[in-house]
Amino acid sequence: MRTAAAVATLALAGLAGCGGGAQPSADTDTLVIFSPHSDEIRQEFTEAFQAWHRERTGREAEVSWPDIGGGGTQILKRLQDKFRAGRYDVDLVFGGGPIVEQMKGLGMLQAVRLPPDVMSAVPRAAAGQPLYDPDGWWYGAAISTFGLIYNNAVIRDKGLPPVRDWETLADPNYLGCVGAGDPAKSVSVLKAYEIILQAYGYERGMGILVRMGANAREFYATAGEVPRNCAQGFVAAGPCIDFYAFRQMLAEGGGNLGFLAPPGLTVVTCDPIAVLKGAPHRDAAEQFVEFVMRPEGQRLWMLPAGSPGGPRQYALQRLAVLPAVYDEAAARGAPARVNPLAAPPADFYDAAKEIARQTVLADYLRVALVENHAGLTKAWQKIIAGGLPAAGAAELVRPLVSEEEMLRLGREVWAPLLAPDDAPPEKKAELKRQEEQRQRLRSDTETRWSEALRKRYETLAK
Amino acid sequence: MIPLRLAHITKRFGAVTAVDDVSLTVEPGELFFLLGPSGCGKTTLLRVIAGFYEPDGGRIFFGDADVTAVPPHRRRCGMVFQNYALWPHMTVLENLSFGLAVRGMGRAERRSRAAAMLDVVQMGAYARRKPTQLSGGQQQRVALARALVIEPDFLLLDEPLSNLDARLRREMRAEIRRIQRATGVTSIYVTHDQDEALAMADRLAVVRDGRIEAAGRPRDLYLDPPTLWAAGFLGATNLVDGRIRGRDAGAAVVDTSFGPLRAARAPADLGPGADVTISVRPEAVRLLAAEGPAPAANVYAATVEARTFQGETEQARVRLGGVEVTVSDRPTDLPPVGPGGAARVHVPAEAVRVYARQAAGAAASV
Amino acid sequence: MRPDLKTWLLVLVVAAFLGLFFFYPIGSVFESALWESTGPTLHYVGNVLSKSATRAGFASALVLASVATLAASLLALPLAYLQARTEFPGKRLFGAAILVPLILPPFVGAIGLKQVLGPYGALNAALAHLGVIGPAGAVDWFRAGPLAGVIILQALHLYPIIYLNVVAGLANVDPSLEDAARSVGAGPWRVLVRVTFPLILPSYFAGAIIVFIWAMTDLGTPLMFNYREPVAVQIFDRVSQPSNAEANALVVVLLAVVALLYLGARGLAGRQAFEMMAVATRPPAAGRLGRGAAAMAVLLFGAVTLVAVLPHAAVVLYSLKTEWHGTVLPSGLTLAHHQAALGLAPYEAAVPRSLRPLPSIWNSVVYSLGAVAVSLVLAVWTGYVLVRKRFAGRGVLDALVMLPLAVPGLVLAFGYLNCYADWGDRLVDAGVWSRNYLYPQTSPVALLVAAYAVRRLPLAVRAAVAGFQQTSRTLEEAALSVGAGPVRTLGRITVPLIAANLAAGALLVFAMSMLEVSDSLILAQDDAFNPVTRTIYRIYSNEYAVTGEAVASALGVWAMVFLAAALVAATALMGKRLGAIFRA
Repeated sequence: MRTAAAVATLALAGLAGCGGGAQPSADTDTLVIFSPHSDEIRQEFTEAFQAWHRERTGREAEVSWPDIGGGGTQILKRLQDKFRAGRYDVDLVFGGGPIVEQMKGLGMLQAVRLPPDVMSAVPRAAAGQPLYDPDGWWYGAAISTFGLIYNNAVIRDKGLPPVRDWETLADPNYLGCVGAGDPAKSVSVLKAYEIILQAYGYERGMGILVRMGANAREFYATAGEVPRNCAQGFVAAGPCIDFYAFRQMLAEGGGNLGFLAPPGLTVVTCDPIAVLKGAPHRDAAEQFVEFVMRPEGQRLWMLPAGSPGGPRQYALQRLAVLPAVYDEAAARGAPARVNPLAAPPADFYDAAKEIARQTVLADYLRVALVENHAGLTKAWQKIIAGGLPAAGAAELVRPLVSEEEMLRLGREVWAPLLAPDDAPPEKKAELKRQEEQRQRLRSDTETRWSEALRKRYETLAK
Repeated sequence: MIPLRLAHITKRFGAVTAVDDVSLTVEPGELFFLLGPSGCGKTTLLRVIAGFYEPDGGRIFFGDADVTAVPPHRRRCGMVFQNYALWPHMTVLENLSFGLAVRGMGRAERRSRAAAMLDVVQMGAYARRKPTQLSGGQQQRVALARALVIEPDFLLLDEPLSNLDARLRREMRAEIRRIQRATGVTSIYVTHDQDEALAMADRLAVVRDGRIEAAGRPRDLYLDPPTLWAAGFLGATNLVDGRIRGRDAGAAVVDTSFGPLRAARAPADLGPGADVTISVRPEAVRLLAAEGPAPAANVYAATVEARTFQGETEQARVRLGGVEVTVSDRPTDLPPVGPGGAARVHVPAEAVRVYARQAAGAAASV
Repeated sequence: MRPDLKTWLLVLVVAAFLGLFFFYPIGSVFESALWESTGPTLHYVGNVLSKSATRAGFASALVLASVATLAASLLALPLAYLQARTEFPGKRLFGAAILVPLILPPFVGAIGLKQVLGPYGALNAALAHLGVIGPAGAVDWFRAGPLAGVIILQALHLYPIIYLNVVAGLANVDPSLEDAARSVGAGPWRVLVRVTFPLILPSYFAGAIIVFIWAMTDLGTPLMFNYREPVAVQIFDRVSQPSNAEANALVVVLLAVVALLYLGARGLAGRQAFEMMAVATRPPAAGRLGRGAAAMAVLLFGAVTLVAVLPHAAVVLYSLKTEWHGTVLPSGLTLAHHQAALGLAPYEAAVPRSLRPLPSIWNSVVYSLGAVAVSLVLAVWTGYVLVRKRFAGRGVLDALVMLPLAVPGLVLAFGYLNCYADWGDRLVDAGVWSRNYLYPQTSPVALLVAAYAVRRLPLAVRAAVAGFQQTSRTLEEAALSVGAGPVRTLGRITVPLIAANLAAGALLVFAMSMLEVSDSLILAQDDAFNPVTRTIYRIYSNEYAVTGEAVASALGVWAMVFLAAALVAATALMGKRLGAIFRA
């Protein structure tokens, strides 16, 4: 038995010893970035930053992009776990949408001041959405819009009505033909649903979301699965962020795919970059933020692959925040894109609402659409088969909580209480107890919702 | 060579006491038998000696050394298992060499010793075979050789012949006896077969319900079993109930259903009036013709019920008084009386053993 | 038997490993589910249990697992018996081919299946071609019957686990026991049911219980069918939310249910587990089948192989396609995707430069071999303790060893991330290590090997336990009696004797580690250390390339080739051919 144990230890130790991983040397700056961005974005920004940094400082730069297996939600969770354990080994957050506002509120960020010549070129806002935090907590590195991706071949083969706006997803004809992301798994998916809620108003928006959920063929864990499955013909349409659609269209090439941003019913959002509190390589981190916001960084989003000043290998298909880059890209032969910077402000959108109910909405939709999906679909089928009686259709989608209640729950129950590091122990203990009470309330509320909706769907399916 | 001594060994499995306060000594070079019916605890006792079971009480001495707490692989006991337990993934030679390799012996010496031992068991020609290619008797020899090649202090044999057919069993008895003599190894042999024990043992212990019922040389135990149970277990015997009529020095006269019977010896504590059971071996009883000369005492009229010819011997079941008695003799020495015929029976007083009568079922059924 | 210090030490080692690499990392799950600052709480467990969605989730998981296990058994048992006990044409080939479900890589396996079963897939195209369905009548097979679909796929994917264990078990059955039954007049069927099957019950149980727990806690297959009822899917749906006590309570309840089910099943099967007096005294006779029976055997093996190999064939075709949409076969073939996957077209857009596809296959081989080594050592150790020692709490330990099978990979991987980085930092600070070997960003190797080994440990343990149960103790006692110590006895006698079982376990651990997903995606964070599954995933999820899925499929094909080659090489090293290694 002793021999056996020794063999096991040796095997582990031996394996641990092998493998690569260069040691950073003294004249190399290292950066650790948490990001949901894909390999291609990582590669292009790493290479371009390294060249820019070398030219500017004469120093090498290493950029490490640890994989966190998810988007903004996952990044927030991982960072919260790290901070709770007192580990400050990440420099930057790059991407992940609205999580930066949340992180700012939780005191997880570090403000950065960029040189005025850089900031003077960046518009204050796009379509009414701010493009950076006035105090420098975060900067919008790229912008995007939400809309629908659709597959004309499937629509034709199944004889479906054409895509008009978000309500198409709730059309009974689209039963089983909608691809939707899981609202609890992807921040960008949730954002699309929030836009629908606000574009149509809470009650009507909720109706669209629930019927869309009932129409959904399946729920995907990542936002990228929607365009992929749409392209393969598994679904006819689904909510999608612009650049996923652009890439899929570029890849598919056949012209079957289309993207529609319903005019006046969608918003522009920005994908932020921010330096984290306790960043171990703060100087290099600030350099990186500056690079991303300068034309050198912004060109990478839009220029065709291999063009001077553009990305080397990949056409990233994202929208820049510098208006000049749009013209440059068009001049270099990139596919023309509507410039959201020039779009009229979407006055219906209230970002405060989004932030307030983000987590509670995710949980509500998860319970209403995903957890009870089989029951929901059955009830919807029954209603469709019964000729869409108004009462049944209304009952199916009636929200369990009013908009005011949802917002209150978001602020008072769903918002996590995280004590600042420097809080005195008693304060920390007190906050922890309160957070536990909130967690109980969350769990009890969710359980109630789940039971009520399950029963409702069962009754309607009878 | 060293003796083996067990002192007050007790081994329990849950509520069952398998070995109950057993003490015995096996002398150097001896072939010692543990004999008893199945379930009596003899195999358990052997496994305690081998070290596979730790006793719940008592001590085990190899020579002067207390080995009670010594693990089995440090005890230097070669063991032959009932199912041989030859390692199927090794050849015959490898089976033998394994124990030598354990002792750090060089390859050449291992091979020569193993080969020599295979010659002793007359299996030299089979060294390269796998155990699965051997017959039962051959596997038996290899198992024996494997146990002996390590030159153990003690050879332990657990019912080694029980899986063989009758003829092979007789052959192997002689073979094991020969090999044991040749190697001089002190051996303990467990069996339920009294013929095997009587034929092979230097000394034997009869085990019953976890205790030693009797121990001694085969001849002594057979001819003069210390207990009624031992008398019944060690070979066939005739048991007859009676009552002591009178004592005359060591001798006694016992009233039986077929008349008074004189016994040359009887335990001193059995006085007149005591209820007894007498035991007489079938081969000690003489069957006589109805007419003709006869000894003066202990001769009774009898009727032959049945005769069984067995080659070397022939048995006759005869009825005298209210009991049936078995007589065994050379076929030529039995009078030619067929079933139903009248005869006489002589029970020599020297052959009669007298025991205090015990509750029903106390005697081993034979 | 008296309380035995040595036994407890042996038990302690097993418990320590499980504690260190399983319970400690997932400790936060238990803490979050069962503990608040005011003390222990069952609030969340109560909430979870009071939900009809959860109860339905457990019910559907149980139905799924029961039927899938039954179906896998019905596939595996006849095949195993034919393979072990009969001769028929092509037996060796089929013996190898029957294991192909073990080498289907994730993601691209799903691509293959979707290509066959999707609305524009090969099956619909074939049906349309035959005139069975019209152009608008395309069936979305994934939605046609999700529950049945999940069960069929699981049975087809998991039956090799039962098959391997049972073939190993049959090799250990002493044929004279069967002959004895025949001699007292029992017909072949009765012998099979009353003698052979009870004797191989430990081996069958070893395979079936794993299939059961696997099917019950499987995530990928139900998700492919959007079948969201099973409890594992419900956990997955919540696991991404920050410290969700309810999700953790669900994990705890699932672990408890699995442990109880396992103990119950073991109680039923354990009562009938027999140790044979000795292993086979002669090799089992392989009966030559008559012409008709042989044809039936070939047909059976052929049919199962054909169905099982369909997704593989689809993956291969997909990796070679230029276009494949709405047709039975691809409309054109190209080697470009394979060139990209093998790095022969370095600037192929599908493969980011940081990815090195071929070395990542090699990484996976190394990690998986490490996992095989670790889990086999532990499995022999655990099997020895569980079968050869009697101690209080044996059943508990036995059940605990099975739990890694039921823990979602995500949960364990995050547990590793949270628990071990600090240890490594301390060792670096203390100057013991120059680099943190317990931190994915600096060196994920040890964590990956440990995670693979722990998650696949039940496969190895069940195989080892079955081996120990079927091997007579006297063979070990014989070694002790000639002076070999326990270690040497284990190494020279016991392990060779249960080699067939261990080989079956090792094979499963190796294959299932090569194709592991969740630990691989989370614990490998530096591309230099990528296991092949992560490389495939990165290429597959590449949103920029037209050809991402096809290149991922091409790499998947090469992963299959390497895995098959590794399995063949492993068995060749043992001197036997694949499929025949289980003959004693």
